[in-house]
Order: sequence, then C-alpha cells, then structure tokens
Amino acid sequence: MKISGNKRNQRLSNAKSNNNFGHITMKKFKLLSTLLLGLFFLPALAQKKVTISGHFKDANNGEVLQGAAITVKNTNTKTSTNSYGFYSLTLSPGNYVVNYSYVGYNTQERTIRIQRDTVINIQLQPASKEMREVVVSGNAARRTDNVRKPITTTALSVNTIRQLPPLLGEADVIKSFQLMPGVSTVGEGASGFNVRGGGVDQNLILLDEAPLYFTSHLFNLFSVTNPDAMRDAVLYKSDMPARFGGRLSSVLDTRMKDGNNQRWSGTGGLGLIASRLTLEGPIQKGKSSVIISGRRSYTDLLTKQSSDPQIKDNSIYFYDLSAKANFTLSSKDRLFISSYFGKDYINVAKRFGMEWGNGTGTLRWNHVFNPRLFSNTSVIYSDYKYQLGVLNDPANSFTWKAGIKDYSLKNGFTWYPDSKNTLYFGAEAALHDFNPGKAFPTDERSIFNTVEMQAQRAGDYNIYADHEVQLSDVFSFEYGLRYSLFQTISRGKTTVFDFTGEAGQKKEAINPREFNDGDVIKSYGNFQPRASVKVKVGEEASVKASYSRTAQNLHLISNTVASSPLDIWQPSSFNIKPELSNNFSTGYFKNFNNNKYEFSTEVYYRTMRNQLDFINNAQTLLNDTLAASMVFGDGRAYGAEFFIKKNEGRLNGWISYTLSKVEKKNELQADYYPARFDKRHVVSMVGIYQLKPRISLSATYNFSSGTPTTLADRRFEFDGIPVQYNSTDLRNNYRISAYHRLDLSATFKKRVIPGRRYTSEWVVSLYNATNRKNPFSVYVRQNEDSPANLEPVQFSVFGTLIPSATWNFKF
Amino acid sequence: MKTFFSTLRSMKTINIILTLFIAILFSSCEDVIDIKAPKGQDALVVEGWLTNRSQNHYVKLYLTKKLMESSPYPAVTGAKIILKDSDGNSETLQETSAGTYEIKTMKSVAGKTYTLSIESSKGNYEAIATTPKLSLVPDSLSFKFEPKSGMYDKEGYYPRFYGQETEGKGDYIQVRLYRNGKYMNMDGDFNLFSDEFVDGNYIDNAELNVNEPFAKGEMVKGEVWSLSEHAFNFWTDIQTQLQNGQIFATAFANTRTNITKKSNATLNVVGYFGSSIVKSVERKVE
Repeated sequence: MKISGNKRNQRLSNAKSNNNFGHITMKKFKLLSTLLLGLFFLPALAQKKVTISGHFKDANNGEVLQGAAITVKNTNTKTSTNSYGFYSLTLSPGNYVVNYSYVGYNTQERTIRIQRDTVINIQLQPASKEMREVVVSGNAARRTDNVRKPITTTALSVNTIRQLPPLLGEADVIKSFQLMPGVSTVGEGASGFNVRGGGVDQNLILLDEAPLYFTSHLFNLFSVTNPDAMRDAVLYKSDMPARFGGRLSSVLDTRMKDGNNQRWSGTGGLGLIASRLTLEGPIQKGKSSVIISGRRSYTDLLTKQSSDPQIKDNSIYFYDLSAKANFTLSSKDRLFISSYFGKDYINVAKRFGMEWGNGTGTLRWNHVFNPRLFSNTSVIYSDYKYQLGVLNDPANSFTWKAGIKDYSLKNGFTWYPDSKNTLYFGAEAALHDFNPGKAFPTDERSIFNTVEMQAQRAGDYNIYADHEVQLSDVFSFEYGLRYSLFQTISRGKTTVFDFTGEAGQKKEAINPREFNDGDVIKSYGNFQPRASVKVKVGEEASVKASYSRTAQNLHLISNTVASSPLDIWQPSSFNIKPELSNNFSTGYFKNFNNNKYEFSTEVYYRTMRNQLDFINNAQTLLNDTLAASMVFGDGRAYGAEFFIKKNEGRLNGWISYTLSKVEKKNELQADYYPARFDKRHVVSMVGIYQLKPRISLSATYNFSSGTPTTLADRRFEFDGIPVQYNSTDLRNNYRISAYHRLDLSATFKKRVIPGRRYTSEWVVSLYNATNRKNPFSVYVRQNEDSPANLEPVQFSVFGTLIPSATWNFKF
Repeated sequence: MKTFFSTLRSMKTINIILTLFIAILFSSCEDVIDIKAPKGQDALVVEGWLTNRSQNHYVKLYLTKKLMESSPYPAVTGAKIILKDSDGNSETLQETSAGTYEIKTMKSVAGKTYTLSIESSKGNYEAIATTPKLSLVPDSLSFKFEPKSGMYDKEGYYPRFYGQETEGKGDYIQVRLYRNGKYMNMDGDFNLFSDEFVDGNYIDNAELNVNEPFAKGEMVKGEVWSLSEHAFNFWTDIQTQLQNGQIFATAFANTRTNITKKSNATLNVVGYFGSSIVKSVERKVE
C-alpha cells in the first residue's frame, strides 16, 4: 500500500493544494459575508424609537420562561421570549398597556410610559392551584405560533411528556415525540426516530446545545435524557431556520432547567427499574442557582435476585447525571455551565463486558449588548464512546474501543431592530475527532493482535443569517442562508483511494494518495438557503409554505435494522460526499376557541442526495476499507400530516395522522424501492383526562402500517444446511404486518397538607395494554428439529403487556 | 454466544445479550408464522467441494425450490461435468444417481487450481477454485465444563482447540465438528476463522461454537478445512443468514457464489464449488 516514487513531490503538491484551498476559502467567506449583509434590508432607523427589553421568569423558582408572550394592547405589536427568556420590543415613545402572559401563570398587565430604552424584567406567579389542576399542555406563545409564525415547530412540554403512559415508569422524551405527525420509528426496539422519511442519523439531538450521538439506554429501550431536569423540547422538522443545521431531517432542541434560584427544592421518583432524584437551589438567592439530576436503573439488582443461573450472573444497568449552574454576572451578563453524563454498563457472567456513554459539557455566556442586541456564546464539548471486551479468559481476551469527540465554539446574535424585524446571525466552528475502532489484547496470552482503524478529524465551519419579518398581521416571512464548510483533515498519515468496480460488488482500491498529519484531505462547501412564508387567512388561521436545503457531513455507519450503540460516525471524506436534501412543505393552520384547539395539515416533499448504503454482506465494523463496500444513492419522501390538539380542559390531547412514503434508489437497484422505515399510515391518539382534582388518566394509541424488510423466496441446501435465496435480489420486498399499541396510565396525587411543600403521586401504567405481540421484524431461521428445513418467524419486542408503578415526590 | 475469536465483529453477541435482557423484562419472543414469500424464479444450484480426504467427492446439480416447499429438490440430470486441474489433468464426472455426479480420482492439492465445467439442459456454467494451504494445523482439542450462565444457555462441555497459525495475512479456515461421527450442522455450529486479528499467533485454548454442548463419553472430531477468502465469504454469508434476526439484524443478503454463467445459460446460478485441505483431530469427552 506504500506509495513509492517521489514523496517530496507528493508532499509539495499537497501543500500547494492546501494553500490554494485556503485562498479560495478566505475569498469565499469574504464574499459571502458581504452577500449576507447585503441580503438583509436594514430597517430605517431614522424615526426615533425606544426599546423595552428584559427577562421573563417564574416568580417562585426563577426559572426562565421561554416562549412567553408580550403583547402591546391596541396595536399589532407582539413578541415572545427566546430560549433564554429574553425579549426585546421596539416602539415609538409613548404610553402603552403591555400584557405579559404565559399559560399556567397569572397574566400581568402594565401601563407604561416609555421615553427611552427601558429594561422591564418580568416575574410571573404561577396561577392558583385550582387553575393549575386544569391540565395544560403547550405554552401560550407556541399555541399562537402555530398560526402566527412562518416557521412551524413541534413542541411538547415536559408536563405533557410526564403525563403520557410511561414504559416501566420512565417518562421518555423521544417516545413522546414519536406521537407527533411526521415522526415515526421502525419499532420499539429501534433507537431514535424518523422524521419525514429521514434516517435516525438525520436528526440532530441537542441537549443544552451539545449534540448527543447515541440516544438510548439499555440498547434501544429508553431515551438518555431524564425529563426531570428538562425544561423544554422543540422539534424542527425539515423546514428548519438557518440558525440550525448539521443534519438533513430535523433538530430536536432540548434545554435543561436552570434550577430554582429562590429556595432549595427537589423532585424524584422510584420506578420499577430505575429511580431518579433532582435537587435544585440558589447559590446566591435570586442571582445564581444550581441543579443536579441523577437517574440510575437497578436492573443489575433485579438480575441478581433471579434463581436462573442464566440471568443471575449478569449485570446490566444505566445511569445518567446532569448538572447545571447559572450565574447572573450583571444585568447584561449571564453565565451557564451545564454538563451531562450518561452510561450503560453490561457484564455477562463476568466473561463479557460492554459499556457505552455520552458525555457533554456546555459553557454559555448571554450578553445583552444593548436592548436590541442579544448574544450568546457557547463552548461545547461532546464525547460518545463505547468499549467492549472479553474478561477472565486470557486466551480470548481483547478490548475494543471506538468513539467520536466534538469541540465547538458558537457565537449567535439576535438583533431586534424594530417590532417588525428580528435578525439572527452567527458563526460556528467545530472540530470532530473520530476513533472508528481499536481492538487490542488485554492479556499477554491473548491470541489477538492489535488492530486500529485510521483515525479521522474534521473541521466544521458554519455561518448563518436568518431574518424574521412580521410585515403585517397578515403577512410574515422568514428567510435565511447557512453556509457550511467541512474539511476532513488527516490525523497522522492517511492514505486515500479511489474505488472502482462492478455495481453491487466490493470495489477495488486504486490511485493511492498519501496525506500527512494536518493536511486537508477534502473540503466541501454548501449553501443552504431557507425560506418560510405565512399568510393570514381569516380569524386565527393561516397558510404557510417553506423551502429549505439542508446538508449533513456526519454519517452513521449502520447496517442493521435498528441502529446499535456500536455503530460509528464517519465524516464526509474523500469517498463520502455530504448528504443533501431539498425540502418543500406547505400547510394550513388554524386555532379555534381562543386557542383552545389547534389544527394543522401539512404536505411535504423532499429529495435527498448522496444517501449512504452498503452492498450485500458488507462488514461495517473494524473495516479499514469500508468505502469499498459503500454505495450512494438518492432518496425521496413525501406525505401529508394532519394534527388536531385540544390544549386545555379536563380532557385534552391530540390526534395525529401521517400518510407518507419514503423511497430510495442506488446502484444496487435503479428503480425506487421503499426504505426500511417506510410506513404508509401512522395514527397516534393521545388523551389526558382529569377525572378528579387528584386523579388523572391518560391513554395513547398508536397504529402504523408495517415496515418493509427483505425476504428470500427460494432456498437450496449446502452440506445439509438450508440456504435462503432472494431470486430477484430486490431489497425490502416484503411487508411486516401492521402495528397497534394501546398504553394506559393513571396518576393519583396525594392530598397536599396546607403549609407543606411536600407532595407525592403514584403513577400506574399498562404499556401495550391489549397484550398484542407487535411485530418488530420477520425473518427465516433454521428449524431445530429438522435442520435442513427453515421456518419464518416474527419477532416481537413486547411479548406481553407491561404493567408498572412509579412513586414520584416533590418537596 | 461463545467464542469471540470468530465473532469479534459480530452483532450476534450483542443480540444475544439484548435478547436475554428484553426477554426477562418484556417477554420478547419469536413466533413461527405463515408468510406469503415474495415472487421470484428458480435458479440452478451447484453444490460441490473437493478435498484431500480419501472418500469420494460429489457435485450435485439441482434447482432451487420455494422457500417453504416440502417436496424434494428437482435434480438436473444428464449434465456433462468435467473437472480439470492446473497441471492439465482432467476427469469427467459420472452421474451416480439423479443429479449427483461423482469425482472418482482427483483429490485436492494445495496450490492447484481446479476448473469445473458444466454443460447441462439449463446451459453452461463454470467454477474455478484454488486450494489454499492449511494455515492452521490443529494440535489438539480440549473440553471445558461450563455451568449454565448468561454466556452459556446450556451446561456441558465446550470444545477448545490449539494450533499454530501460519504467518502471513489472508488465511481462512473452517472447523467442522462431528459428534459421535455425526456432522453438526446447526446455525450455532459455525466456526469460521480469519487470521485478520490473530495472524501468526499460536492459537491457544480458543473456544469453538456449538449449538449443543458435549456430554461425557461423546466422541468429538474436529476437521480443519482450509478456505480461500471467497469460500470463507460464502460460508460466512450462510452463517449470517441463519444467525440473523431480532433487533440488530442486518438486511437479508444472498450468499456469494463462484459459479459463473457461460454460453446459453438460461437460469441464474447459486451454490459453490470449493476446494480445501482438511486435517482432523479427535478426542473423547472425559
């Protein structure tokens, strides 16, 4: 594999191309920034205007209120708080009546006379208990956003997430989002989720801005985020604004709570398989606070109790821990430090060990430059790694490790020049380090040699600008541009190849080229324009349309039906081009009865390019020439989504229906064929009912069409062993039967003793209440009694209904 | 789930742990169902392997049948099959029973290349196989008693084997086990080894996969077959098909083949014609 010949020339030409490249980039960037600035019309500021701005908080615990509404009476002027609870509103000097509201809180109305820029910080009192008993989902601004904002978001309040029937008592963010239109999953054993025909790796899952790379505990059964420590979760489906990027299909933006800055308090729970505890309190009352939240499963203790030796010796558990502190440094500066660490640990009979985990750290600094300019600067670290190995067997011992690490720096500005315009702009830089795998012996008697895959590194640079214009009550729009520059950088010496060969076969590596440490191997630049428009059509109703182009430079190497913790991430590189997607969507949105009901219907069409797949029988793990087995193709997805939600009242909840199709094609199959997660119909129904002041009931029902899989139609025999044969070689040629699941739960709250803060509740639930064996997959196995014969089997993750009980407390 | 020697990269290990776990928590299960298999058409099957063993070798020609068909495979009779080696020797195979053709004299020799030419009613086909040297000559077998645990779902004696792996990457072997003379051919009995991670090492105490562990008194024979990379892939493909399933299943894929279509071939072709060197060790479980 060594390249003979003139090494020096080789190096020279590399260096030259780097220089060239750098030159182009600088030029490009300059050009681009000029372009971006020019793109946005700068609002005339000739007329004297004044700004009111400030932060919105819960008066009881100091938690910021994101999406709270600020409405100026008798004008069309309104705005809402950003994810740090900050708002800014620019008006002509004068007297105004300003209404500050947030659902579940007492509204404040203030008459203000403003002559100059004024800071008005708002603290809202939670509504009286009687009112709070009325179950509320979603928040005020978001409800009207449904109709008012050009960009459509899907939000679920933590409150709602906690009221849905949990699996084994664990409220689950990702499972809850799977009940929303356009969001689905391959099955309950599958990690992550699919948005509008996108793969699980096409969702960016952010926890306080840090990306999470594998989002499941206990293989794929529970999500890694503990809702107790969460404040908010918002999903942007395919038509995301320019300030988000990095993945093709969606961004799930979750934010941790800041912690109570008034007094110490706690929440927790004991479930069947795990318990949770969250403590929060002020460091300096009113100014700074801290929150620490932990969860650990005791699945390892459960297995120990078993009398079955096959179960007894195994240890399997997970834990996650998050901590966050925030400091008000001045009226203009706030600092946040947050960190998350989650891990799964498995030990089988002290012979085999495996662990995987995500760790993240975020340091953020909010700065208010002036009442109209807000900035946030973040330093982010994220680390996903796994390790497995054989223990206590010297001859067979080995350890295998792999992972991905990110270091990012982000600087984002929000500029509120006047009440009609909001501008978001910023720059992001990230360094990704990929360790695709190293396996080494852990005992000198081990029969294994050390194998190490070529490590990779990538630089990921993005700039964006996003302009939201509220032209009139009728017409508003948002447009923006994101430019991403992605470079794979050689870590140590790297040899790259071209691959050539017959379609569908393992390719041959040719034209080796060598790169030295730090050399840029390949660069990809992508312009990603985004645009959304909203037109008001009647009372509380609007029509929206949007276009977005998204690019993705990190690719999950997965060859299995459900992604596993062992799957590795790879950068766009010499052989892997960025995935690109064009997304179109349009819809009708209407709210009824004073925003009590929300309705929306949307249709979407997406095309996807450079979609990664593998030839038959590809080896995706510890394979240094994996590129030889890759194929690239196109995808397309289209569908219609219907959603109706009742936001309040004793009975609330929603019904969503998605009709969709997702297909792909590549060199293996020239005609479009259904993707593995293609589901024609998906229906979700959610109902939450307040039976009595202290008893609430909830139910969810999910129906979805079966997913396709590949099955053989013929067979033959070799040495008496049956061999299956798919004579047409068509992929996904068989459909698994449909999926139905009903989950129920009831929450019983303990009577609150007046004057005491302590409360508790019991949650009892029945998951898969109809006791249905839902198919996860269908495949054919050897018949144990007659080994020359085969039998088709259907695999169900849940073979029964799963009852559970959880006790939660709060003080 | 036994040795990691062969399955260092295999999802099978993970699958088994997961299965165990979700079976406890959720009674996850596999149910035998009826399926309506996809439509397709039959192909010609070639099944043959030449070794250095003294017994006679056969090449079978027949057609595939539907996935769940219970009737026997339709034999392809009256074909003219010629086996040639790279030294210019050749032999015409005799059809000893319907669709079964006997190789009477030729035996596999390391380094020689064999060409199997088939002229049949379905058209002409050809396979080429070179016999690789045996990179690991087995010294001995041993047995270790394992009680039932998360790693071993049945208690009993599990085989281990020993031998020097020859230096130089790109060697492949298969270990076939016989219990009291009976070939063990269940999905859990596959033992396919590549030297990718163990090149040139003494293989000491490496565990072998068995579907059912051995009991005291049983006679165990281990045959080590040399495989070319291509033949190793073919066997690995069969193993993947049979061990695939559950949550981390990979998409179904056909087995690779070294049979190629020649002139007027009317049917697609599957199967394999391989050639190996075989050495065996035998030991009674005591």
